[in-house]
Amino acid sequence: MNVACVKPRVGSDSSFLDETLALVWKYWRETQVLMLGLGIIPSLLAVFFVANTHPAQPPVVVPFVSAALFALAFGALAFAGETERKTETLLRALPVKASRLVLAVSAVAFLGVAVCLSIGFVILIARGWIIDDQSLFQEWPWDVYLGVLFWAGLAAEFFVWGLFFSIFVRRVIWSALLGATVAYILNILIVVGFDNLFQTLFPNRFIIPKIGSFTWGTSGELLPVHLLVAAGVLMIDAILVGKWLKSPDEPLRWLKSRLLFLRFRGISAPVRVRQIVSRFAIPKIPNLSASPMKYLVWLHECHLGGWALFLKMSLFVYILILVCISFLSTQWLSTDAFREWCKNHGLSVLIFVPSMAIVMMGISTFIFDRGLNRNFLAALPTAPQSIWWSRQRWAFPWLVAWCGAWILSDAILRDFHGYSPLTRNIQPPPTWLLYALSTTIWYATGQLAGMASPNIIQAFVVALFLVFFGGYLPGQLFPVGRDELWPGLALVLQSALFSIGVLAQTRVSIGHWLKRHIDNLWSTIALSPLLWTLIGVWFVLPALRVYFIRGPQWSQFTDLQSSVTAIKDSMWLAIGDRRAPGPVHTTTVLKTLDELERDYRAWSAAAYTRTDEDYSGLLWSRVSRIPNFLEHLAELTKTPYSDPFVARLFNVLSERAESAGNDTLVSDRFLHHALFERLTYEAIERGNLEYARIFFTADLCLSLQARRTQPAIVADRTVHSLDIEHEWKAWADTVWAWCHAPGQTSQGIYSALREVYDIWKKERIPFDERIPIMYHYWRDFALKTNSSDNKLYSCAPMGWILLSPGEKAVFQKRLDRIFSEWLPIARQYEADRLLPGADREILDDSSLWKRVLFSRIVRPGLTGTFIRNFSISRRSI
Amino acid sequence: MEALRGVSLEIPRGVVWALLGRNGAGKTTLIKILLGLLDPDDGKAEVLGYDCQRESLEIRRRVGYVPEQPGLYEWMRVDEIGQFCAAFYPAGYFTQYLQHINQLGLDPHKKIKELSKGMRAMVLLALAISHDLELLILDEPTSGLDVIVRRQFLESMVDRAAAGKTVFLASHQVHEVERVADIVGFLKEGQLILVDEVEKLKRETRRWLLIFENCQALDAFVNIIPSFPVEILEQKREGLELHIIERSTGETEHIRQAALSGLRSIDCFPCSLEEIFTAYMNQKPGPTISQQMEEVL
Repeated sequence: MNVACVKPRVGSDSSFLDETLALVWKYWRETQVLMLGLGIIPSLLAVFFVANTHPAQPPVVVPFVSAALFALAFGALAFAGETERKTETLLRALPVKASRLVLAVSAVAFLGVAVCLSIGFVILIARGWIIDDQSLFQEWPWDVYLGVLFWAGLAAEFFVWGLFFSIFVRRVIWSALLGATVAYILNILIVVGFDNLFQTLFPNRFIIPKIGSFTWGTSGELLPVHLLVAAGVLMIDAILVGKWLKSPDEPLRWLKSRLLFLRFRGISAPVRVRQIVSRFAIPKIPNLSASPMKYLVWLHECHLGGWALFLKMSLFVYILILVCISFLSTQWLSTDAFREWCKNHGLSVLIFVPSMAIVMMGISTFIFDRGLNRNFLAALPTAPQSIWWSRQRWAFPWLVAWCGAWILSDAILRDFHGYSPLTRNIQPPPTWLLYALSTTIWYATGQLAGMASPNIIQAFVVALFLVFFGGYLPGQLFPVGRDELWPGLALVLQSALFSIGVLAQTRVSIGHWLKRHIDNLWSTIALSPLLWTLIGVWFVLPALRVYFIRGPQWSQFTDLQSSVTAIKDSMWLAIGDRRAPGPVHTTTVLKTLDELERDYRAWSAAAYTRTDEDYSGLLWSRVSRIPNFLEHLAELTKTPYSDPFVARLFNVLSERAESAGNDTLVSDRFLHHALFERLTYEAIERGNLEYARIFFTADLCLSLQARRTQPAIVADRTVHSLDIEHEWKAWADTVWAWCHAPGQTSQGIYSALREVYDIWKKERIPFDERIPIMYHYWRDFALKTNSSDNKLYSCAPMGWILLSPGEKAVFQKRLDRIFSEWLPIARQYEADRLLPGADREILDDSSLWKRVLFSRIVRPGLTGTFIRNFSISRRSI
Repeated sequence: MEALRGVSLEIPRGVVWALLGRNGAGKTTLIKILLGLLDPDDGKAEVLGYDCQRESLEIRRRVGYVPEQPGLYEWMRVDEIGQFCAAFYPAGYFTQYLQHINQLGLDPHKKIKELSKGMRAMVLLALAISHDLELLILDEPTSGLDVIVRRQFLESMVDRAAAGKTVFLASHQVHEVERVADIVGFLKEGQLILVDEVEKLKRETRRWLLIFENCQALDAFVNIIPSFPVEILEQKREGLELHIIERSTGETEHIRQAALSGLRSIDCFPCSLEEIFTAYMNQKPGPTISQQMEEVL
């Protein structure tokens, strides 16, 4: 073929800069939503989650995580997005060079990552500014630094691999999934490969290579290697983009011609794979007598094809993994080894898989009906509502299955041992109810997002935002004390309302969606179920809750009502009520605490170098001059849970603790009131046992109350469990009983407290580690538990803590390793009838531990050794 | 799957060259090969002296292309997409583009997603013709355009050809092609079965309507048709009527003379390009037309 014969002049007037800038502009505009979404949402989530729970990763890592997610999404969208939107022909028709295209895409990826990081840090800085937390500007610990490097490296790998697969596949979701998988596996292989190389080069240190050498920290250390690999893949991407510009099939053809193994029959057949997938993916056509609904379900299933198969297979693989894990935990590995294994391989992330899968199910209900397919649906002689119902019918069995898998995963991964989920862990109905509600919320938001978004990644971001804005945030901003009496009711109502509202919105919108046209925009907005749902969730429900709390019809709330109004000095409470002893005590104590805290702030601002001892002395002298404060505090701490006034006091204190910074008297991370600790210490120093006891109990009550009143979170891992609450209550009440026991000697309490606080101070044990120490201390030592009982081993020591799975695993690992290591020794001692403490000179650490475990007599001299040994062991692990 | 086989054509400068073919005949594949968007398994293609496989960038720089399926960036405005494309062409592109947009009556500040199908086609057309192109390749360009714009568009094609530019047009709209094309090619099942000037083709092709007095006369005439020095494109029998579309360069009086016995009436009509195209497309390979008639009879 020859079109015209004269070869015209070669060359172009358009410059390199113009072309690249035009492409940068295009990609920049296309990804703005993604950039903003991924920059804002994870950081906001981090702010809210981190404020309430001890994070597995510090908040500084979150912007880097969101940047990595953006890099993956952008890479996956770059070319697969063009194919999905059918704009590839226009791009191919332009005289654009592949190198400039790749340069523009890389530049936008870099800029987008910068934007995500900037937004994330702005949010975190704003949070720090609001709560007076300067930790972001302090020098990051080494592990945090390595975590940041890991995510930076992973962002580069995510981008290049997302780009790589977006050249080959035509669906954005596939390129994102494949890109993420390959990037992460390659990240692991690079770390393991370097580890092995190192061991080979230094044979003296050679050990059997293992995958377990991979951690985020080791990966972060190898950042330059990751960046080099990413640069290499990017170069391959550039070549492939040149091929892609010619034709969508060209890259694979080119790759086949270059890579020998792809020519082999079995492997070289994406077509073959496609055939196999289609054979399994296409369901059997319903018979002629079937209802139209069945045909619609069948049609959707066929239309989704391989994606539907992927979702199904994911479920089976997920359940298989869970079963394997449960067998590992019960049959083949010791508890300790299993936890180590889980930690190394980050298996706790498995708990997030069902929520992601459910939101994908929701998104898949409508998002793939684009273009002509939607026209076809609109032209079908059936009501739009039938189409809507058919999609729900398609999704329902899989939603139920995923919900079940989610409950199963929670049961298995909750404490990393035991496989009796249905008999033990799912007994309290709120657990499964919460999962069912979470399933509905994720599904509904995914469905709405899928209906409204042009591609699956944007839909995912929109769904996250919806869950955050409508499902999570109202619960966080309007926590209710009423949950104390009816646990979870407000949460259930709010979740149910939100799910129903979002689903109603999709049902109402189905007609507009099919027509691609809204007749009257303003009336549609005004009648939008989503709008009214958000109004309900944000305004009506909180207002109702306030009304019910204030309402006189529930007698059990009367006391609480008095307390609330007295504390807030409200005008609508009778004067007589305010004179009741509970509110009076509470008000006095709160006022005193306020004054003390103001003094502390002034003092800390004035002092150039702060010395805790100096302040503790000042504090003590100040407190001892305040009339009735200690008396009231003592009264309040006597009945920490049965008295609503006290409950309210500690509620207020714990709320303050949440909003306060580290530089105040209240530690926000662990909700531990430093004021009481200082006072306790001073009281001990000055030999005032009664005061020490009061402060100590107040300190404990506050910590417990703060933990107990954590709002249950609707769509996430943090679950409000009755078990946890009972355990906390039991602990607190027993501590109180111990402190006030008739046989308890003043000297015993004094010595015990002195030991505890001395060790904390001298060993510089941080606040967060004191809580588990205290737990074991009081359980095994103070409560005189018979440690040879098997219950010691089988009980879940950290069941009381509301932490993320990863964090929980770390604590559990530390504590349970000690137990698993020392228990056989203890049993051996018991078997040999060796009484602990027979020869103090030759006692090693283990015997000290053993002595503590088996001692039925409180020996203050051993307490310090116990705690010291405990904390040193934990740190050395 | 083989889309094209043995296609060989040369397009002179300054003509409107129309490629006609049924769905799936290979028109878009041929255009993709010409633009370098697809490599042929065998053979060679050159456009404007550039090798389509190795110098496709140069080709695209000098060629305007209107694809069959108008995929545009929906989030862009009409002027924005012109500005974006202008970066890849020499200076003056955007000014030209705005002029074309104004001529076509489009609002430059309107979003692409708010445009109708026809308006999108107009935007694509404006994008394709706004640079100093030497060849314009159009794949089903007028689908979606209204009558006024279509007429305007077709006239602009003729003007472009008159100005020495080449227009390569693939279409289903035969009657429109007939109005503007200088040369036409028929593509059937991946093979180029005809390339000729439109005027010449129309001049040489005629449609005959013969009405006989009886069947015997009709049969006798049908039997001697193969002996005529003409190319019979279509032959259809309806009762005593016989419809023939034939193509010949010379005289056709022998048809009239051969049919005189037993003939009630005979008429000869000029053929439209659509009739010619249909006749060519309906031609079946294998047995000749006379053999088919024998089987029928």
